[in-house]
Amino acid sequence: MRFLLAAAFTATIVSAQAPYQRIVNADKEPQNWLTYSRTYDGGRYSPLAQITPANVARLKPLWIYQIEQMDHFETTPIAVDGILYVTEPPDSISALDARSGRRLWRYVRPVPADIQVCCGRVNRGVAILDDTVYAGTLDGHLIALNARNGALEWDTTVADYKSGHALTGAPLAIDGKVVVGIAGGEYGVRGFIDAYDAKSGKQLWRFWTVPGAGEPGSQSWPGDSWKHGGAPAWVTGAYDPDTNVLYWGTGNPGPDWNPDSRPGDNLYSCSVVALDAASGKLKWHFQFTPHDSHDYDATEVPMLVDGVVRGEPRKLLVFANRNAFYYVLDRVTGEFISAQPYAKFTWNTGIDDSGRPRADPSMAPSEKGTLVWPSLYGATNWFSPSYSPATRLVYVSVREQSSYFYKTDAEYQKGAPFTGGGERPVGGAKAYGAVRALDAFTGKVKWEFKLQSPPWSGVLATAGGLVFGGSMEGNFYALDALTGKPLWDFQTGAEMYSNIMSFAVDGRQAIAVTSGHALFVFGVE
Amino acid sequence: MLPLLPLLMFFAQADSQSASPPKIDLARAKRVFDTSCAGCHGPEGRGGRGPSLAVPKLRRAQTDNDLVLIILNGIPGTEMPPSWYLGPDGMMLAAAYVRSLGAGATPSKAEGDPAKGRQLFSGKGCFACHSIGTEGRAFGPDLSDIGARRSAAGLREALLEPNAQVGEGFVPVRATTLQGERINGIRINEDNFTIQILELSGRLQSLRKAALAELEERPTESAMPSFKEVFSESELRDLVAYLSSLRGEQ
Repeated sequence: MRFLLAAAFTATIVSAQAPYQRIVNADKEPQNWLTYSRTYDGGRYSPLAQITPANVARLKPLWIYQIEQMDHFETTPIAVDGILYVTEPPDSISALDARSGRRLWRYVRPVPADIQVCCGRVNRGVAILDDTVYAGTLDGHLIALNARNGALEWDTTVADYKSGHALTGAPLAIDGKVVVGIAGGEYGVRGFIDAYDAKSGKQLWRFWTVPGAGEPGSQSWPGDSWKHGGAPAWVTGAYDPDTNVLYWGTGNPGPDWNPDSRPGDNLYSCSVVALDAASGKLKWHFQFTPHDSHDYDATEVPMLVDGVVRGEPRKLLVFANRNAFYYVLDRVTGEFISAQPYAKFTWNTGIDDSGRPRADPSMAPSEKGTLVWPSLYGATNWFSPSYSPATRLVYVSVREQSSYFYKTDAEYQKGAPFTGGGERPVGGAKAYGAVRALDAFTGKVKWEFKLQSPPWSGVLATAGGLVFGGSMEGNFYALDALTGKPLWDFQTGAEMYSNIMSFAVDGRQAIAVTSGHALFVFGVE
Repeated sequence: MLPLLPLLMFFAQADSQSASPPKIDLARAKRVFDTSCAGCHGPEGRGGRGPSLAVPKLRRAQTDNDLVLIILNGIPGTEMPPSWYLGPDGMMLAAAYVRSLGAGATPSKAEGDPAKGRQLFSGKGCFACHSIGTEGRAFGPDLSDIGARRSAAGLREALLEPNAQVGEGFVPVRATTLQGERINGIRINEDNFTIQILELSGRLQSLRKAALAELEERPTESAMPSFKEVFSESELRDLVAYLSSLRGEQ
């Protein structure tokens, strides 16, 4: 009998049933974190409320898991019933016991020696659906692993890594499908968003983020420029299960900083696209930065919120963009509602009533260098914002920094950088960071918490009334969600390139964050 | 995306694999140098805030490949930034131009007398803040290899106008604790919640910012006074000759 009980206990530990309906109804199980942003709406909000302003001072590390590689560790753990699933750089996937931090299994994938990734051998997490864990790989594959033991179930080639394609973002698993967006915007790839059958790995559809010759939008790409037009889609999007629509951000047109070969708006670069998840067909698009020449990728997480705008209830999509503006759109129609700057910018002279920026030609990259706000890295970047339905505030990690933008010649060669210039950031005391709390429906700044330097860590708001964030000086900290007042901090000992999440095991809330080459899990003793 | 350094490793690899050096358009190469390098290394690369590159042998770049890698990645821990944005062509051109500067150069002759400079350095109390090898105090920057990092013109400027180029590692700070204790010194390190200050006395203070009533940082100000009124012109030349001779471990 004792043996049988032990067997049953083991079974509950290794079982990871995560059917689609559980992810749709994620709010019913706040102890778990079943998709990249916890919920399909991209909100990255934890309904767990055990850790509060009253007890956060007692927050302590529960365990630390260290990786064996020196690359940035940018994963968002997926938490399912006491197990955390993480990606480790360069291309491994591990299952960890959420109680102890001990590894249960690890799948190690060899990385080809000739891999080309512009920005580090990183991966931002897995998706889970039913009993399978999904991850993209640096060599452009989508793989499916058995959640119980990490065994490979299928392996599909998404794109050729030798031409600069890579998968770095966490896939998004929806009903029977796994959706991924490609990276490679610095290598002249033609961007796309793909859906694969979750059981077989067979491709179901592809949406090209750069239209081909003769397709709608192709007039924004003269000649053959579309073939290397970029517009990658390397950060996980959001999904509305009620309407079966995906919302996904797209990156820079190629070449990045020399736009001479691509006069026009360069659709659908630097945009958010709304796609019918059944077919991959475009429902609408909104382009934040037409004809971009500063690498202002719109590869941030769109957030789906419902609210009242000018007295009318609306289904909204809100977006804290790398280009320093916070956008409010109608997610049913794509209609532009408002744009509000939330960081310093000089690249445009304002935004018109249709949401189109009046780009300032004197701010274009030049041979001698042009000083522009925000920097290449943007007012924010891939690291996630967080929306609290309790405070109706959107919390954003903000980078206040300028750069000199340079323009050079650009010639496409397969697998080689196709950038046409670059930048030199202005650092030192002139650059700083902040967490800003924005009114979700107007983008107006309600409070800010200043940071020593521009951050690479996202934020997490919780129902306990806290906002967690990380700094490049290694500080992991908690702020009062209503006021921004710092309530607790911990020195993690490394630069933080991180996204923060929360889960609970054995009824105790934990906060998980990567820093340096380690995953830290905190709880109140 | 966010081009960091791995992006351009490609170029360095491509360079090391090329069989014969490509023909270089020196006029174009000079343009690249003038717009991207001369700001620190001076016109004609004779040095300024950064070291002179018009030397027969570059300390950190024995080979062309080393040189391209330095242009690509910068030199961590120094003020030499990465310049990957130049692209493969631009980096090759910059490297070729730097090599051309060194081709006809002879080792520069110091104008002053380094031995006299050394006496001045010691006699005027410079060791009270600076260290050279095992000598002196670690309050201000270590000068053991300053001659390899700064040109003579840059050293002269630092002595006469210390605020013209302030190193980020040595920000003067003044703090007052909630109890009213005043602390003056150099910022050794800082994060969002704490600061570590080295006082001139040599005492290291580690403080929570929440425990401070006041914290003033002066990042554009050097803790070093100007020596304009202290040294004569010939003494300055001697001192600069001495500092220029400090090249660290060879």
